[in-house]
Amino acid sequence: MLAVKQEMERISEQEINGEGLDLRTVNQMIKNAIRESGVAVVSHSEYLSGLAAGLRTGNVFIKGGAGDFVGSLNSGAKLTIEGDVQNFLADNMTSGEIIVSGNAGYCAGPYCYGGNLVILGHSGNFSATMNKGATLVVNEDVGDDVGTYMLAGNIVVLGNAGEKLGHFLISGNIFIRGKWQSLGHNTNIDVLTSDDKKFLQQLFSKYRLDARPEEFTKIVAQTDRPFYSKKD
Amino acid sequence: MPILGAYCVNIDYERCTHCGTCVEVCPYNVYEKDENYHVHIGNDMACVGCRICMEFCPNNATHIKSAEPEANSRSLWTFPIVEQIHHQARTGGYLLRGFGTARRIPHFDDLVIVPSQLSSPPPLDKYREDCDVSVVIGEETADSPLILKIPIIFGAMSFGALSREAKMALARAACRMGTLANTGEGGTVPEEYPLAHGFNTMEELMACTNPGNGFGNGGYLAVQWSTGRWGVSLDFLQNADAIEVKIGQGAKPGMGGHLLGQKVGEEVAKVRGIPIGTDALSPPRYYDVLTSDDLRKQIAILRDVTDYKIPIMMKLGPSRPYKDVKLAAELGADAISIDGMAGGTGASPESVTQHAGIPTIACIPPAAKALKDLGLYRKVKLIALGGIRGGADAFKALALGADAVGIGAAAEIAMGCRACMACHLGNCPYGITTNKPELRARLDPVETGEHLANFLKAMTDEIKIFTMLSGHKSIKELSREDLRALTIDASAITGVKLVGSEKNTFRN
Repeated sequence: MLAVKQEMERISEQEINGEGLDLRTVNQMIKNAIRESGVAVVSHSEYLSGLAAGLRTGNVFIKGGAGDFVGSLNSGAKLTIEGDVQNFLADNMTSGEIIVSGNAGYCAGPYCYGGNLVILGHSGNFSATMNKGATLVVNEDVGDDVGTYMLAGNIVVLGNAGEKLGHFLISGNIFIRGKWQSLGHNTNIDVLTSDDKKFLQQLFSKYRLDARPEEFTKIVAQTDRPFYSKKD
Repeated sequence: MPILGAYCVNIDYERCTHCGTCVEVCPYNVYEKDENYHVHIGNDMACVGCRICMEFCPNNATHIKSAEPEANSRSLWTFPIVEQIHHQARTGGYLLRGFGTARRIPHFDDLVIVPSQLSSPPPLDKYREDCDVSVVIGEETADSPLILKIPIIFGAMSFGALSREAKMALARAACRMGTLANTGEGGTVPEEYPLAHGFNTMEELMACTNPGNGFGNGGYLAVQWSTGRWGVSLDFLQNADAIEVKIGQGAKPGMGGHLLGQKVGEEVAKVRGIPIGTDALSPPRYYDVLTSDDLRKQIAILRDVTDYKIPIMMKLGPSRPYKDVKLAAELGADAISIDGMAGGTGASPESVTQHAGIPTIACIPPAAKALKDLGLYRKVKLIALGGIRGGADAFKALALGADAVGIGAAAEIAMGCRACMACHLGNCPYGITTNKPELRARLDPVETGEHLANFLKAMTDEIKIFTMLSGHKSIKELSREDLRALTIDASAITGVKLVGSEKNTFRN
């Protein structure tokens, strides 16, 4: 995160101070800053829900953490958040990248179709619920029900997980280094392939995470039709 | 012992081989063999309807039917109930089907329209005078409000539940009549948005300098933000004229959408972003909502990511209409759809469709009262859905307090559906609720779009007739005084005066 801090200091003169401003104003200021320089730095906005929602381009640095729904519907922007975030981080992201230096609250990364979400601290219950293609990386522990009804994408947990990990998993992969309290319905433990190892190694290198693919267990779905329909 | 003669017994002699199985298995001697060993019906009056002969006949040659409606002859234990229990006993599974409740519930038929004569303002001339049937949604909150030319919109029905061609026909009809189509919760097909605006493709729409050059009156497309969030992206939301936040629906209030795997082909899977053939079962609630305040935040975000241009609507299932509608309005919705128990084009567990929810006519007055109590009546628009079959039902819904109505099942029927209630199986022979190419080919979206538009036009004309014969020049003038209830139940439920009485027996 040193490089991130240096980058923040470099552009701090353009900083958007969110104190006392409403969501519409702050998000419009972020869009304007991105239009002008490709970069926006935001501070004192942790009370806002939906900060930096719906961005297609740009680098956004958020100081001091963020509230609920930060980075919702992200569609290509890179968000770097210094501090903790509240609930529903990156809701329904389809592409782009969001990095959080602290912890994420309840249900980080729900309903995402794509993009990378990297949480360097812990992440709460129901993270990556109904994931349909994004990659969630959590450097420490995750809560219960993580990856519930995931249909595609990847979850990588470097720490431990709570109850019902991957509950009603349909497709996609969960890679976990630590222990889990229980696995969810319709899950199986599988062997990492060479592609899996390559994928994980690239992630660890990109985000400078201290981990080796061989340390991980892979969890997959038993079947992609656990409800009414059955395979022919 | 059942009533004598309660059943019609029939032998199909083209199938019967006179094997005598029915004679052997029937304990009531309904069948007999003659001296030539031919099987005959000896005493059909003795038949108790056990159907053991049908079970055992190797040639499906025997048939038993109730002589009278089953509700009379078999009381609670009608053959469908018996078969349902047998199915559950064999499989351990419950039945699914589409098309809403099939039970008798208080309905618009329990209300009649009061024409104007001497003691009320005189009727207006449908042929030579105007009647305002327009509805505006988001007038004070959105930069681009919906200006609907008729008070009828299409209810949300997803791509996947409906075929691509059916979705195209709905969008085309919405454009022809200047009203609103709705993606439902299954993403969108590429033609849906341009067709709703009078163009065949997005390229044609983008290239056109004058939006008025398209066909039709210019319609709108609402996209749905739902608990499954299928096919939802920033592009999806920004290519919309309104966003509908789905909380529930009439077919299965308290449950999420059901799209069974047999309808998830390659194209549907791609739009939804899910594996081919897997069931798409939406959760009953939002994973990203813990409190109603989270929903308020979501609505604010939806406004923000669409640049405050388009209205945000909310759709509710039939539950506690006063409290639900009040909360929806407080959360910031510009329009609130409430889908009654009679509604439901979607697949649902049979028992849920039959037993969960309250009738449409019970939803509307409390919903309108909630908006009145907030001072938001006619500002936040109330849209009634659920079992609306034509102009008379629509008029009654408007008089009960709705600003507009939505149709789903009636729209499917206008497209050619025969209401067989097997939509969930994906084998619709009319190409409406299927994704099989050979069946979809039977539905021409242009011709079907015209049929839908014709139906909307006929419905609108009927609404105008009823509005004007009751002495009004605008649907905004309608009230419960324009109706009378035929039953005490309907009066109690709706607060409409009982026919023959000028008293409000029940106030609500």
